[in-house]
Amino acid sequence: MKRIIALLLTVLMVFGLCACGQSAAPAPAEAPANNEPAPAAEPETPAAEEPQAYDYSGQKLVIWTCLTADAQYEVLNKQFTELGKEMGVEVEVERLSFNEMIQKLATAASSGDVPDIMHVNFGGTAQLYADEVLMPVDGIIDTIGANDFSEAYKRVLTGADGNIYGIPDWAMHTSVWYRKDLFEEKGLEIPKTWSEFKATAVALNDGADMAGFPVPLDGVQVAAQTLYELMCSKGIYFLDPKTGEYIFDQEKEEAIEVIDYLVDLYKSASPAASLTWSWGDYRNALAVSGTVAMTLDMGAVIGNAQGNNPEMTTKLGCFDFPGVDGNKVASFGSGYCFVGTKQDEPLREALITDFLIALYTPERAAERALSRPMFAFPSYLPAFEIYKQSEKVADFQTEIDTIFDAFENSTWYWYGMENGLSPMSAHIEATNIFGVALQGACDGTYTSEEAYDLINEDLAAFAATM
Amino acid sequence: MKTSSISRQKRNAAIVTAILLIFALAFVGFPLLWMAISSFKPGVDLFVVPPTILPRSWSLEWYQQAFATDTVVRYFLNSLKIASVVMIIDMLVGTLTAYSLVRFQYAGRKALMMGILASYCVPPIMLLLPLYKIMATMGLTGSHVGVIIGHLTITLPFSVWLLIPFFKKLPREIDEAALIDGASEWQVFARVDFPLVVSGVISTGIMAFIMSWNEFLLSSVLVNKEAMKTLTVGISNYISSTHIDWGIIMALGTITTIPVILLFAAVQRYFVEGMTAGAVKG
Amino acid sequence: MSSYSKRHRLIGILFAVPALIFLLTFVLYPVAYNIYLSFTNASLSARKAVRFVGLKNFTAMFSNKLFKQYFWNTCKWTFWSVLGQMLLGLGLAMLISQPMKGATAIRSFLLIPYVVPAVTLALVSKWILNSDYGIVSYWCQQAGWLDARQSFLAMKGPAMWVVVILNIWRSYPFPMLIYWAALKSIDRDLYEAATVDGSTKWQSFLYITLPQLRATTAVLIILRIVWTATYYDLIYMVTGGGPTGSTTTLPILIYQTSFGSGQLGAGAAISMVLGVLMLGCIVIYIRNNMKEE
Repeated sequence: MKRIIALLLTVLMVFGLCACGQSAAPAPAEAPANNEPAPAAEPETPAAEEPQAYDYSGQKLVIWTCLTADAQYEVLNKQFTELGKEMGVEVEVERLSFNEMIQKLATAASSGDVPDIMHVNFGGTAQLYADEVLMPVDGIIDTIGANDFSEAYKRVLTGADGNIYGIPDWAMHTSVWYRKDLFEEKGLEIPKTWSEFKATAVALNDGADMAGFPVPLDGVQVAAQTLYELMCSKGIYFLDPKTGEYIFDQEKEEAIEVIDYLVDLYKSASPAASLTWSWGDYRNALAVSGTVAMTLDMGAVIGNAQGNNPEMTTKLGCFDFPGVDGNKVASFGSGYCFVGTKQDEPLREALITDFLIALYTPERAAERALSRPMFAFPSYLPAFEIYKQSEKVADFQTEIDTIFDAFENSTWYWYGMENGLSPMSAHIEATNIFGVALQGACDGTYTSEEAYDLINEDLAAFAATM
Repeated sequence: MKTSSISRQKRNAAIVTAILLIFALAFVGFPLLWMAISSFKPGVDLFVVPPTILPRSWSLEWYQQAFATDTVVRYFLNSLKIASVVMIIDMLVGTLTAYSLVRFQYAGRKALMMGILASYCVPPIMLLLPLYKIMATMGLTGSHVGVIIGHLTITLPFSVWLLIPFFKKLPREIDEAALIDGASEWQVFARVDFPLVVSGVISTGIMAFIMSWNEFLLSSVLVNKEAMKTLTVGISNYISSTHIDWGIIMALGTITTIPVILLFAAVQRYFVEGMTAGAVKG
Repeated sequence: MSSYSKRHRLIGILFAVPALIFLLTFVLYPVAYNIYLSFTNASLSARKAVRFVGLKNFTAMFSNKLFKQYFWNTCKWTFWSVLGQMLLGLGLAMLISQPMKGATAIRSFLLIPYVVPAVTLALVSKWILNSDYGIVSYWCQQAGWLDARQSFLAMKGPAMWVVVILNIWRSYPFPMLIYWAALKSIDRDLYEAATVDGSTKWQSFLYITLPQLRATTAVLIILRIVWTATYYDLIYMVTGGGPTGSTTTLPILIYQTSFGSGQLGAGAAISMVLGVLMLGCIVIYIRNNMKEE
């Protein structure tokens, strides 16, 4: 009998814990809610000036974001809630984690459980577009100001039918982030060609404690991103930028040269374990533990340094990855955009339209870009000056100019979307073949040609179903 | 002379046993202990090379950071809710089924027995796709229903199997006497037999709770929304996301593991009893 | 004999009805549905209509260069994991079945890995094996077993051994417990008689213990093969199937095909192959268990 009582007590304890948990839960939940009125008191109320033909009261908007960093989510959530209040609609915000986004979006589309609005990266936009759930946003972009967005950015988000399906929000661009202090110490110049780049990486590489340049090849997205930056700099793509046809199969020789170079960099200047490195690993290595001297990144290293190792912040700078012989053909750009989903009722469509337009004030766009742990900048040009003057990026004016120039004045692509929205992009995000093939090329399992063949077969099979 | 050599032999054997056991305990304890220690190390100590065994100062910062937003609390509550529901359903349905299999004779009893054994062997990876497709079609991936059903496919056959020996131990004569006295089958079950196996039922339920709490594969696919994730799935995302906070991860690992170890300690003797009675289970 | 009346039997069936309905709906039907899916082009995306493609999924699978490698990975992973956990389980069972102080406490401690969530084990192992600040990597680097800034998890041979060892860590308690019970049930007199006859401990083990454990071992092996070959969580979380696909087993491939590439039909076909391979084991296990009925 004593045993039974003991067991029952255990069960009661579990439920007790449950109850405690529940009573404890609202406390953190309330905290952000209490903070909200303060920012809501910002002077500008753009939506109020919009002529509203519909009464939105009682409507509800479901908005998804695919961010993992809390700071980004909080700013988005704040803006959505604020706007919801202004327009008298209820707003429900959900977040998807980045690494399983493609799968979750496909699930959502097949079960009809898609959000009304989503803040999403290019791969996710391509997935939703392939599932035919997006509404064209040309009208919205015209209302906000078509010239306020760069042509390259709008092209990426253009569907096969010529309509635009996403409103550019923030932009990111791959650069080489490096330790300025080490370059100075060793008297190194910014490399201008592939061979100079490799020589620089080798010069910075001093055995165990400092690696010159990591080649991160984690199977989930990272391997594909590393390869693509090198491919772009040589002018090789998966799809033809002009026609959108699959052309990677016609570029075998050049592609093998790229893989050779990647393997060469791995062997001569990368930490051995970088075969399985993901974003977090190389960012930590450059910005926190200080164990690599350069790395490709979209700028989040600065946020990492500011958060975990502030001394490092001032030591970091960036330059564009060079072209083979100095002429860089294109680079790997990225970004996030807002999309809206198709609606049956005109009222719902108008609601989504108005909501999206209201998100594009210079202040809001800048605030969103600044919430990203660096270096995303607003693709909405009127927000750019506000962004540049922000305290957070004050020390990085040179870097911002470098990136802005690369993004606005040079050619850039997002893998699989060289000619606008394409499901190929979502496939590249989801397949693990880049990891298998490129890790294999680096550890000697495959030759560069075999690695190329593996990737090509996988992508060609997918292209055939497009 | 002879007795002393035997005793020396015995002593040597005891020493060897002790050494081997110490190795085994270290092998088991090291990863868990290292996780707990790491979770209390401040950031500067976490990444020092060479790693220090004990932190120079103890810090709760990772626990504070982990609970700074309500995300983790929500994962915790989701897991608690799912595992509790699974536990209760397993206790109810499992008990009734085990009772039926032990105490009654009917056509198809053997088939049912085999069915439960077979279900017990069907691994989650086989059920993953069809369950996912069924749940997605029914629109249940946005709720916890799908995960609860998924966890029941694993835990229910296990629970029935674990409960059967507890009923088998009960003498049949009491039942028959009660039936002759005019009690209904339900009354015999509820008033006579059930009270005698209640500790077995509760320990089985808690094992089901632990299995559900630990489950990863089905939980990761059958739930579509961040806010609905279970603790295991939520934590696993911390490692694959765009930045890695090892300190937070170690803190989360520690708080996920402690409840199951405590629960298991509470029910272990019943679990051992149920597992080791008769046929090999799993 | 009133207790075996028709009414009595009916009530017996009623007690089992909830479980019966559940298993039919959520185990039997899904298994059948999986067979159906394996002959279709079903995909994650709702846009494409599902249609029959015959054996196409199967021919594509067997013609895939990497499939053979992943199949052998599965065999390797299963063989060593099962062997390791059986040996460790047996060894520890023999240790804890000796009379000593605190035997129960030690047994309880050794059972802990049985309930440690795989995610916990995965996180810790990634941490201790981190190339730059993992403590185990550091020790191995100091000892010269590992290159500087290298991790066993990034090396295609050792990565498999790491996941196998981790898997043994979390799965030995089950065989240990079963062996412990089986050892307890061996008649003490047998050993005493052997000692009187002058046989050594080793001989007793060889000629008494092992034969007595044969039936237990057979059933354990079958069951553990099924669980190990189909186990997904640990590998997925520790290596994700890498590096260079060297730890990709069929369950990992099923997941990647279905939810990575979105080809549910092709994923179902792989899971069919795995299922058929496991079917033999399952049938033997069931027959063995039903004999005792």
